[in-house]
Amino acid sequence: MIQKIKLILTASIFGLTAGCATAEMAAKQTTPVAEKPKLYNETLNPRQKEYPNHLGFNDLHIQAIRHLPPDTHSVHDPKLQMIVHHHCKAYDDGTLLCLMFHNGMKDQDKPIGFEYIITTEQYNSLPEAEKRYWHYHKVEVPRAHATFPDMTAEEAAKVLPAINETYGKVVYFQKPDDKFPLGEPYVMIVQDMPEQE
Amino acid sequence: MKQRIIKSLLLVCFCCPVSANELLGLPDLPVPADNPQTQAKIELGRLLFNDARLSGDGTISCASCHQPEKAFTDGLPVAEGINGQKGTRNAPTVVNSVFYQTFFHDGRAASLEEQALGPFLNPIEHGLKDKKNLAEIVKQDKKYLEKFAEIFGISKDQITAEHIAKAIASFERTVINGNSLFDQYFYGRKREVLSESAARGSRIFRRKGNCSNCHEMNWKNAFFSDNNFYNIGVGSKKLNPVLDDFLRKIRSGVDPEKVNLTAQQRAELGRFNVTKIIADIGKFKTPSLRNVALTAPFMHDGSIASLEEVIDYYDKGGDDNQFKDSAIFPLKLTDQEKKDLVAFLRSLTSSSYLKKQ
Repeated sequence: MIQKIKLILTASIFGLTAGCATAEMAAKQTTPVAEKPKLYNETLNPRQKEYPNHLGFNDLHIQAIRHLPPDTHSVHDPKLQMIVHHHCKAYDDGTLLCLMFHNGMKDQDKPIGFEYIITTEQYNSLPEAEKRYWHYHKVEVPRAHATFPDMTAEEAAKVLPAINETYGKVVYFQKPDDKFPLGEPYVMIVQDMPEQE
Repeated sequence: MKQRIIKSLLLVCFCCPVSANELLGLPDLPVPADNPQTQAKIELGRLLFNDARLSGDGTISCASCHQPEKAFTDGLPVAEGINGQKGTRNAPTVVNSVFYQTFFHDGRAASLEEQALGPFLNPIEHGLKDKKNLAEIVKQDKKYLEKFAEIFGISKDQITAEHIAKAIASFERTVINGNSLFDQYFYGRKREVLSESAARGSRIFRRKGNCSNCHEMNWKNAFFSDNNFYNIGVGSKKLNPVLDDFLRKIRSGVDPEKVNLTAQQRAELGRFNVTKIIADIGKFKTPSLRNVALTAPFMHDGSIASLEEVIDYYDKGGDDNQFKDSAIFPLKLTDQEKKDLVAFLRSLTSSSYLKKQ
């Protein structure tokens, strides 16, 4: 049964892909005007439903360096300067969950991990042995040269104090050089990364 | 796999000035399965690219607007075609165009092959009547007939515009240049090659300037384009006076093609002309910034003359219109930060072009 579903999905996806060029040609002549683009796969999600009712991960966009392991663990490794985009959903319990993108944020870009962000109070409730995995944002935001690219300087200044008083744990399930997630997931100890301009 | 693609391309491409080092910083080279690279096809494409007979009055070749000595641009605000006619958009460079996922500023072509045919049939560019007209001109040349027979295994009668497009696209896939000073600094880890100002600029580019949100780079390479479409306000001054009326009409069911607009106003609709999605009005494809110091004037309409003015345009938050991207807002860059950004952009010139200067 599962195989059958997979086959149907695969066939649908291939059908969509194969039809792209033809569909675009037709669109030039006959497509009716629409207000907004369809965001989701039209075969897999024909009614464009969003689950949960608000999928999120767009509440906050942070970009930061020193969030990927360099090749050489040297201050001279330019890859330490590579920006990692954090796309975060803010939850009612004060936590944020951020999907991590090392490429960009286009339709086909895939996250390779996440950063779980908790308040200082929540951090203080963690077992001592766990705390070494977490970095304090008041210290690490400036070290990571973190910015909020979708905000003006004034808007960012309002958000920064709240972010400063949080801790983050970065967990990757895929290395940026790998095509698929290989091996075991790993925790990135951000505070151990060499300093960067 | 990446190495295999690169090596196979280089093996068939010893005639073109591309070395492995020249690829530093570039993404994997995509070659479609139905148009594999061969040395003979690339050479044929080069001939066709430079052949002015392939136009209505015998004066315009692809190279008229994509001049190799000008980094495959023409240095003009908008392209000029047969009989001195002017188009509505800036001629983009062919250099590294292989890495785009769509072609033309509004992305209306899905492949280099599809793109290659567009200007031939445009009445104000090459001005040929139709695809048949294009193929007929090629068929008049005995040398071309021999080459098409050798490369595609076809007779004179079987030559079509699509064969011509395949050859030109094959040639364009060899016009690739990476290995800029920035590539050497970032991907080659030679920190000493970049000036302090350019290095600072590279950081502003990724941080305060918000440039890399669209002009993407990543861990492995940098094309400096996300292949996406944005309304950054350029061209809005031309469109704003008629935009409300246009929207009212199309929302009431009038076919957008039948709304009375000048050619320039219609061109400024950008991506909307392809998708017919209202939110796409005024959106244009993010251009790569590689060799940007050689491709002035800038923007899809060639309306900005210098890199300094481009930085000023973004710094002020662009020109307003109701569809402008929300991430285009005043940046409050200092004069030094602007200079650093320009220094960084100049560091994106490929070493092969630096040698020629």
